[in-house]
Amino acid sequence: MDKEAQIKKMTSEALGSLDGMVRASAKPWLFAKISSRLNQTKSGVWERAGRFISRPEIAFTGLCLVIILNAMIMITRQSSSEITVNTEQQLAADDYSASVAILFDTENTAP
Amino acid sequence: MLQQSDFIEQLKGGDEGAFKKLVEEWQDMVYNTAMGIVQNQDDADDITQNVFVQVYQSISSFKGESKLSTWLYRITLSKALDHEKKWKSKKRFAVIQSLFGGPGDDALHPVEFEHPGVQLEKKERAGELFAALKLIPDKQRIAFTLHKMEGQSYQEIAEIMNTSLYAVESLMVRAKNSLRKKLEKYYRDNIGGH
Repeated sequence: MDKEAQIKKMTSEALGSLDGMVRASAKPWLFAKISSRLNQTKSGVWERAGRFISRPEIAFTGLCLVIILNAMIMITRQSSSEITVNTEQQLAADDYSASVAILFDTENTAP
Repeated sequence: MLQQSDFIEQLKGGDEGAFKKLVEEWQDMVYNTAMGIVQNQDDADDITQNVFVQVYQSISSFKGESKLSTWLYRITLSKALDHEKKWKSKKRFAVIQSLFGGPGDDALHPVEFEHPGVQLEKKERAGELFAALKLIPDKQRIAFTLHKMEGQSYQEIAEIMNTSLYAVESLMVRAKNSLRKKLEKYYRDNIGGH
């Protein structure tokens, strides 16, 4: 048989080599392995959340947010306490206001 | 006999018995298809597990517009091709590494693949065919693998690949021509040693 004819024959054999083949069977304990993977996935939700939170960029962003929120709360409280202090001061000032004397003075205009 | 829709409802309801039945019924099909693409028994086993994990997790998104087997084939092919892409990128990295004096990788010299379902007297030629299959375009390879290894009809392949019957026929013709060229070249280069 010449070389070309042999090549054609081998090619033809290769192309037909899968004829009559049977399906390969999956390895044993497949369902057990899948169940194990599924359980790992279920228990891993919190682990994944923990890993996500502990990532540097996420942790840093979270820290910044906490600081900003704290600062905003402090500023808000400070301004409201200033108002309270001012009101209290105003009341105290009213109690001891010199305007009372002025009032008396106004009423007692006569020498 | 249980209708597919009832079976799907059981799966959606998280029925473990139904899921076990699904695995037992389709595990060989998933494993064999994955093996046809990745040509490695351990990798095919790993892909099979991944496929069923995904099926369990995403069964709620299955609308029942296609057959369950069609959906399973699609997931399997997608996972197998993804796996192969990762393997190829690792191989490329190993080539670069070896150029810079790195340790290289055994993957550069893949061992010959022997499918356990091939008849003994055809194993040598089948090994050469599997090697040639790796060199042809993905779509041609999928069509050829589904037809030859899974015994799927052209119509079923068209449904799995979401294409027309004509397109599958064309893919099969091109796949056979591509394989013939690769094999002839291989034998022409190596026949002297026989």
